[in-house]
Amino acid sequence: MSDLQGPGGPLGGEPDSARPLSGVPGPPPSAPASAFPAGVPTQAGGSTATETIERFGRPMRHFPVAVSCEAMALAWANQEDGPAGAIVMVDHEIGPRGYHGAIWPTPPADSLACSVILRPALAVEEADASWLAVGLIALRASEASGDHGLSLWWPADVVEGPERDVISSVKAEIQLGPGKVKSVVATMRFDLIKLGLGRDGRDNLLEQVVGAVDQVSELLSEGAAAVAAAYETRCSIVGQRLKVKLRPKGETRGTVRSIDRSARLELASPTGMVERVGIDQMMQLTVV
Amino acid sequence: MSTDADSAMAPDQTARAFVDAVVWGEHNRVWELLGLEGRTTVLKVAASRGMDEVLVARLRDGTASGPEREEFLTDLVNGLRADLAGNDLDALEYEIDTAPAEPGRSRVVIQAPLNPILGGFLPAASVELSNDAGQWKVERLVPLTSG
Repeated sequence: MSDLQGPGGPLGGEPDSARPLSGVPGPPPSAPASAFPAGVPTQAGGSTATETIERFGRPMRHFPVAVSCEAMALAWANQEDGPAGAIVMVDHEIGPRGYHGAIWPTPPADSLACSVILRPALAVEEADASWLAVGLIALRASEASGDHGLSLWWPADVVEGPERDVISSVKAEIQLGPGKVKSVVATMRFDLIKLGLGRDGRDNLLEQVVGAVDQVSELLSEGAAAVAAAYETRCSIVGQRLKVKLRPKGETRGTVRSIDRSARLELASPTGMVERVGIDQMMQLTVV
Repeated sequence: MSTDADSAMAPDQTARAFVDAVVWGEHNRVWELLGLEGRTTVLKVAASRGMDEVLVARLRDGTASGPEREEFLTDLVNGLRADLAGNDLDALEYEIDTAPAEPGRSRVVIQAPLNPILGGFLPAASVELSNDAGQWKVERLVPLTSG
């Protein structure tokens, strides 16, 4: 993996803006100026080593600019065997994409974007419970910053109030091994302004994320059912009457009865027919 | 089981109730609204696709176990949903076909609205019904567009 922090990149601008953040070293004096923004991989031979620092008691990589924190964390997890709990934080993501490629709309300056590497002991059929775990992490971290009347909105949002204003969006990129989950890159993006933290609240929120990761990892060790139960109690979609457009086509309707350990939405019809909608099946969800 | 409301329903209301039951997954209601001919056709299709003949007989006679019946009706509803796929199911219009029909039979045309720029409606499906002891029952759903 490459991590070019050289000054003079298109997003680096003035040399000052390319100066590394605390704990993140800049390029060696002899390093050539990069044509790429920091964190954007380049061809082999044109890279410098990525600096890992320790923050909040765990390994962390901090990039001023990168394609996305998910991409950087995936590379760390897959190519360098990044440890469970390792964090990647990116100040300015070029492609902040979440569930089904949705772009995170909040400007980078008002956002906290981070990814955490998880290595849960989950079976393949329960892998999607990772989505629920990431949602719980984002919810608990957001709640630790103040009482906002937050709830989870299946499958990828933390919302505020009856208007369901999105406070945070999450994504779980799951890597499977033989019969089990190998790793999960849990990506969370928070709107610092809506959380009332302001632009200076990024560090505090990151600390809350770390605490929430520990709590939810404990829950994950109890199994997917425990995570699903915890998620369901905080999910405001339960009890709602929904119309769900499915991939690749078709639609289904019903009242949300529960969320199962494979993170599927269980929709019940008035006559008791139960259908399960998986995270990858859902295209559009409308409350009716 | 039929309700009093069913006996008072006109063919277009029965067709609407049937499609609504399909859309909302009311599987028992779908089965209730199907006529004898419709049920026979559905079971024939199931048998032709490999369903065990004994199970077909149990479903026909109403002696199938709860899970067997649930699974069959869920598949039936999903099949009917596939027939209606591609239409805006919240905006369908139901109109009784005025062409002469056999006594005790009726046909309802289901139309889906076109884009407002174009205006008008496009036939989405038709429902053939029969009158069974004063109650209209669905015998066939013929999709005209799906995708």
